[in-house]
Amino acid sequence: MNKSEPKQRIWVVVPAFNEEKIIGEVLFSLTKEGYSVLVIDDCSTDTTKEIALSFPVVLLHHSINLGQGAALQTGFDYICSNTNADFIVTFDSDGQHNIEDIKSILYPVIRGTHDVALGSRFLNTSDKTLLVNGMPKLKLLTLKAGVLFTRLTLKLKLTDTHNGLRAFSIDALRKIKITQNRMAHASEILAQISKNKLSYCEVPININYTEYSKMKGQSILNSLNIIWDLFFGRNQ
Amino acid sequence: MNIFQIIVTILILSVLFFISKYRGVLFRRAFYILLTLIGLILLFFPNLTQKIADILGIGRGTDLLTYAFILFSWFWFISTSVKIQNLEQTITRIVRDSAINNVINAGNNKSQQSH
Repeated sequence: MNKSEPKQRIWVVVPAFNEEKIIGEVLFSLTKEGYSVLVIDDCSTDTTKEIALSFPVVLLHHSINLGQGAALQTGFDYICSNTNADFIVTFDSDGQHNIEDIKSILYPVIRGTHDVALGSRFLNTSDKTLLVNGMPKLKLLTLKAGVLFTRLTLKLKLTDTHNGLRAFSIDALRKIKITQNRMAHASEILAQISKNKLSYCEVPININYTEYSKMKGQSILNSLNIIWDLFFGRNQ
Repeated sequence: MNIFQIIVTILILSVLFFISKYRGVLFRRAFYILLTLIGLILLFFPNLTQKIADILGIGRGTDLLTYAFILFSWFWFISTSVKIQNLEQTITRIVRDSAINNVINAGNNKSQQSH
């Protein structure tokens, strides 16, 4: 990583909805690393907000639950207009991402070779077995279908299209406008990368498939909802 | 005039009454009034549907009604979806603006509320 890049100007965006069990751990390690952290509490009904406030973070609170896509865009809007961020990382609040992966995902963006870096759980060539370990078979199949879908509709060659760990340069972030409030935003971000001709690359990262993150993660049935949103929810 | 015609006429007239109260777009109101009137006419002259069906090349008058109903349902479904979507976007904008205007900066160990 570029030594001259102060960590305070790297903003980690953490959308959170009812994550009281794990978010403390996530925020603890993020703030300890020295990153600027922005938490968007999507109207959690548990103590997520209170836990987040015990860390040196900036917190935005949705007064009603809108969905992860909306929470991310709220964070993006805030960062673009209210901070002097240079680089932005999106990081899930359910503990499925590793703090160490942030450095590797930032690397191509800070070096300036790419506008956007996308995490991929399938790209890790060093240990293929470990990656799929703990991942339910059906989940693997659904994710692969998402990859194929993206390849066909957006002509983006990616190995993992639904990964919450991403890095953007501030200029790239200004071009991303998420209108899909719920989970179709992952595909929408890719669509806008494609449309705005942003340069992108994939970075191998690990996903922790703990019992908790599996429970909190997207059910496979929801991928049908995502496809529905993409076709019928597209902005006029 | 049979019992069915009497019942449906009462229903249609009450619908017409509600439409006349409905303060929507003039075009929309006119459209619904027209639709109800057509329904009323067809109720008393059922053979008319057969004549229209013949002109359009559809086998039976009832088929024509079915097709018209399906088309209308789709029109209604799409226009309602668009409306809901616009509503959702408006709500999102309001919630987002209020979230950004009420940022809580835990970094300075104080909550600042600004507008």
